[in-house]
Amino acid sequence: MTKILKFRLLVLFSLMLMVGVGIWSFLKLPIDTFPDPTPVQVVIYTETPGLSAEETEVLVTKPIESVMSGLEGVELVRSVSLPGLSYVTVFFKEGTDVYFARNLVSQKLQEAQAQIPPGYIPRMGPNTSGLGNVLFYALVDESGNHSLEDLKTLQMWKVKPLIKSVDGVEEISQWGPERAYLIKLDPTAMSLYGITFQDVIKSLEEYNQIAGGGFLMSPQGDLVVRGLGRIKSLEELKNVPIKKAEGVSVLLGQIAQIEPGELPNRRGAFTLNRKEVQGNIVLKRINTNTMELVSVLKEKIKEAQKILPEGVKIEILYDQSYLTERALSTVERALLEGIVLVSIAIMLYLWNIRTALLVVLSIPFTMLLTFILMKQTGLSGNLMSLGGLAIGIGLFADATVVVVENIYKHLSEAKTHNKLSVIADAVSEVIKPVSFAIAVIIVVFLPIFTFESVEGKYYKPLALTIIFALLSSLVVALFFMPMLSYYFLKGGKEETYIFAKLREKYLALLEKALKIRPILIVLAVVSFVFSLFLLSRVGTEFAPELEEGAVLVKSFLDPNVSLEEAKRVAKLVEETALQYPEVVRTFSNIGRAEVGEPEDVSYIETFVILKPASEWKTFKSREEFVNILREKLKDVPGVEFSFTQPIQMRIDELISGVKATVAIKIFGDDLQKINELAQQVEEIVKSVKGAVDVETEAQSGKAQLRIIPKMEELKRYDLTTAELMELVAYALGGKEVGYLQKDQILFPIVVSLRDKDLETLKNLPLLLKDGSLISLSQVADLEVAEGFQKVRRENGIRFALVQCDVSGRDLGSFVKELKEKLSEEVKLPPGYFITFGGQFENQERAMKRLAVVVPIAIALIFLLLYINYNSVRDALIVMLNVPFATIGGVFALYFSGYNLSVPSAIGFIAVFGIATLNGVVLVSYIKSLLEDGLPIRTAVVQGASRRLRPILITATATSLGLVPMLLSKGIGSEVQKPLALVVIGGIFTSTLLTLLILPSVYEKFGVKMGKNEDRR
Amino acid sequence: MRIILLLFLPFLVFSQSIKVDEKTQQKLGIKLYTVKQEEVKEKLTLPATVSEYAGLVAEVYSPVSGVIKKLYVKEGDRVKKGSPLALIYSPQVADLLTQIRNAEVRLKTAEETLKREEMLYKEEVIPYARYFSAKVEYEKAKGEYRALLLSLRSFGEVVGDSVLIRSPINGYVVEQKVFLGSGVDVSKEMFKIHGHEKLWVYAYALPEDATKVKKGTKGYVLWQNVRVPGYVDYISHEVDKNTKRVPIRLLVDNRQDLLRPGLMATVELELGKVSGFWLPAEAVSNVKGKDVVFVKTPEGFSVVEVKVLRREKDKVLVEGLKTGEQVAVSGVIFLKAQVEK
Repeated sequence: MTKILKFRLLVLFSLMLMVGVGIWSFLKLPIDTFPDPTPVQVVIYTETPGLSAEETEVLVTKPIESVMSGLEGVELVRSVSLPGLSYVTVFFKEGTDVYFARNLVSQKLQEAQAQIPPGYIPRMGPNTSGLGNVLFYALVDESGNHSLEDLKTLQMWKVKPLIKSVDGVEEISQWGPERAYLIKLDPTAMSLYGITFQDVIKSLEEYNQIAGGGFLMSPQGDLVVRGLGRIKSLEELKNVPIKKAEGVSVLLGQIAQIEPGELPNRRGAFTLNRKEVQGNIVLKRINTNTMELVSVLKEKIKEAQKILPEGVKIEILYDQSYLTERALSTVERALLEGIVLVSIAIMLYLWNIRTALLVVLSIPFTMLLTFILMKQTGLSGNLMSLGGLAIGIGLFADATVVVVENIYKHLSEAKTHNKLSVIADAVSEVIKPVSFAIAVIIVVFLPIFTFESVEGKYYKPLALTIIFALLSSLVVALFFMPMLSYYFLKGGKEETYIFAKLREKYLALLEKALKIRPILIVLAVVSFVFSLFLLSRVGTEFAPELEEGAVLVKSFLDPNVSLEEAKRVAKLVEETALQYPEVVRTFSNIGRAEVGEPEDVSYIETFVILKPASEWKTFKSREEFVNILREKLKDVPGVEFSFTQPIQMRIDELISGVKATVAIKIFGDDLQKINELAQQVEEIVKSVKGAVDVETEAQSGKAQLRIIPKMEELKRYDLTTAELMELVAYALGGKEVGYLQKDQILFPIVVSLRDKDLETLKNLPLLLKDGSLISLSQVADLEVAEGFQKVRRENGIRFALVQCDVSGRDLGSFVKELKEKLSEEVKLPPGYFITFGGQFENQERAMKRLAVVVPIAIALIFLLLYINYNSVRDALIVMLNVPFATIGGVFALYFSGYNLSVPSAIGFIAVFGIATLNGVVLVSYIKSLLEDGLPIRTAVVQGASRRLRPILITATATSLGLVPMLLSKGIGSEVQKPLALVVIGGIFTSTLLTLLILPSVYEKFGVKMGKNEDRR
Repeated sequence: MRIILLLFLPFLVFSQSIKVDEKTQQKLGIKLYTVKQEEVKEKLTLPATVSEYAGLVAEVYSPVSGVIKKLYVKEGDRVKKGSPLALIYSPQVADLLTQIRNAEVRLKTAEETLKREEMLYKEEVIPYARYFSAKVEYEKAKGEYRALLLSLRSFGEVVGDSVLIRSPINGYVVEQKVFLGSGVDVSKEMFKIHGHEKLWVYAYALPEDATKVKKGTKGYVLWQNVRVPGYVDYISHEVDKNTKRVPIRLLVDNRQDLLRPGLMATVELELGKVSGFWLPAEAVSNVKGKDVVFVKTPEGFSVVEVKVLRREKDKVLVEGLKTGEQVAVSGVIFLKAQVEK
């Protein structure tokens, strides 16, 4: 210690250095909204154009699943098979490096490829996270001269390359129709000319070629040889000869209508404020910083705007950074306000400008040091980590308070003028208790590191920052403060008049308390028991919803709706929302973009972006607004609506693969059966109070046109099934047969039919070996039947899905009631079972973990106390603060209406630590007085009186530090509020009871020490 | 419980009404169609090719052998019946003409001889036998001359020592196989002339459809915006090898010259008339195995079960509605989904 003071200039210099590095770290700290809860996962999607859901499942999904489930570290394989798409998600063990996982998958992809029919190529999905949809933008035509296809072309060939060049952009999912040249064949004309599909495709391939001829030395110089046979215009396409008959060529134009149009089989659309636009979503690469990425993207978009033709505008519709900004400003404000409040309180208590200044200074010093640690360990600044700082502000001053106060006291009482040795003595005196106190709080936060999954990802950063900050505060208090005290502090009067009065009042109160000791103790026990009772009445949930300032409306439509019809529903939803002046804009994505996503046009997500909450008039809360919308949309026939928030939905989806709070999965073999069971479950869910937006996923009921070969006929005409299926693939599947080049852009050429009705299909011509033609209906049955829209599987077992959200009720009790009802009313055949997923899953897991973790935290506290006191009895007395704090925490929760959630549970853990410290401070002092030979009563009273100020300072500072968070209405505060509430409530009761009851309890039960002394 | 539910299911489904207000209806694009009983002609639409009517094809051959001296037409010209086509110089004709001239001389001589012999005979200068032989001689010369004239006329129209060929029908010169100076004879076709007032159109029907068609069935040939009437005059007894379909021949009136042989056209045959409520095919949905339509009510729609009598490409004939009722014909999927919920 004396060394620190001896080399004080060096210390001062290191302080300055620390401040500098700290500020730099703060500015460079990567910023995010909150920790990304995405598990380590790899998506494999396979486009299976033309295959139904059932075939996709059997032919593609199953082989991929079986190959992938054998990989090292795989925990879960989930899949969705849709008509035209197989989507398999492989979940790896927590902590697996995602690039390693992708590597494993890509190796196995070869093996999977060998097991699925040729032509279908499994691909790895973009390496993005659930929070990867960082920015939405749309190309909007303001002049009326550009079609959606034009906009898409601009997007694909001009805007996308620019934006994709930004580091951290993994993929851009693009919506809207893609320009293609359509060859709409007329089967009648084909059959009369004796032309088959194969002829058309062959000709198109053969008449649309380019070649490189290397280099040619010539008198004109060294020439590059190019064979230019690429079709460049519609005219050229029309004149492609198909077949030579009697010396005359039949041209493509004679048997087909050729026109520019859109690529067929589009399964999605993007609308903005009622109109269809060309919309895009930028997906970020996993672990990329959202804030930084978005700001670079915005620059790039400005750049892209410049190269677009007149009349085309890029509009940014939504970016995740707004949420980060708002959440961080909430936290930052809470931090600042906290610092101010805590400083004022400390000034009032200490009533000495120099002391107070040092204590107040310790807070920013601590924070700067914490930022350095965060930066070095790669912890990002987000709602959770910075929230941890906001929560702990009061605590961080604690160590300094103790150190500086003791220095001040010693200086005031000092007889020698050797300031250096006085300070050194003063500091050495408190090193042990201060370190011990910090250790206690750190220890209570340790069990949080056993959290898994989402709660781990959310709350580990919080705990880690607090621990960092506590360690920093210790360094500040023991390393920097003695040096600063040397320069700044002078001795003086120790106590203010106001505080002396307060102490007087307290002593009188303590006197009375000691007299009615039994009553007080009984009262305390009763209120503890009562608080336990109240706790059982408090609702449970995983975590409060984060307010995003936006509403997401999900519309579920009949599986057989067309894209056009879906667009009308999107328009209707947008119109309904746009009636309210609080709505800034609305946009919807219908179905899927071209990059695989397991949705079809029967699913719409409508984003409703709201103005800041302070400008709301028609409604006061988001919940109210959602209720208004729900009421307004209630009467739309044939559509089910569900309401959530953009990011919340993504997180829900990440957790359970389902975009709702509660997911009920009915597992079994028979698709029909599980869907029937799902219907039954849906009815039961609806009957449970609090269930809203109940929806059974429409897995069945997708109309299909089945083309079934007649084997006998095929035999007779000497045809193979393959030939038949090829016809189906080309005529209906919309296969690309080449490209038409315009400038540097290649547009696909697609073969299709002029009329796509059943009648025409029946008459599709087929070429026989003898050169004659027959129609499709002669060799195949064409029938319309119902099939499946979606087949979901988890670890190889199919399941049906019922999902719902919960409103006006806590999640825990809802699920409990639902489970009871389900087990009573649904009889499951053998081999069938039901599981629950969604937010609820996290809650259950987190609560289970907490049920272990909280006792461990308490046990750890006890262990430390025991080590400290070497006495079970003393340790137990100090531990009384745990029930004391519980009382306040539970009362605060119950009366504020908050639920018992992970953050409130962490609040309890924290307050146990802090409250215990109060007891430690008091009991240690009383013990030292006893050791000095004072009788027990005097020791107790004097101890309490002496320790009144430090206890009050800690309590007040800690509580005041939390008040801004509690009162804040800003985005992000809702997640921290339960924590703050529990801590404030707990500190209040524990402080009160420490000051009033603990002395008397100690007097009664802690007397051993006195006896020991007698013996001595 | 479930059995009871199942029992009530039909009532639950089909007595159901769906609440939809006007605005929502409009926004969802649910359009209405007022039903009425109507007679609809049942039609059969077939691919077809236009070809010549055999009754209006003329091939022009030269009746004589000779050399083309003059051509009056070229390929593609439109000709009327009797328009000159070509003039053929024929040595045969020249030869004949000489013979005729000789025969004429002979006839004149014979005639004069006869006159003199007749006079001599009447004056009883010569015996009857001599007169008779002169008469025979004359008759013979006359017969010879006439025969030669006839023979010349058989070449057609003879101009000088050439033969003028005229078109036998109204039509187009579709083929010209001779040029100025070409040598011709009876085996050489010179022109082909087609009359297009009437055409044959071959429609190709699936064997099962062909049985519905009878000789005399009325029909139309459709090509671009043209609609030309005609009737079936022949149904093939064989199935066409290439198309595996039955050719049906229509005779069509093409006096307005709207069609030309070789065209790919469509033939629409009228097979009869059916009466009932014809609805656009989208109006009828299948809910739980039953065909239903959605009838507009003041509050929204009610579900009405119908019996489907016949389905065509884009239309459905149903029973079970009243004239004047309005049914939903687009956006029906929303109503269907609502009912199925």
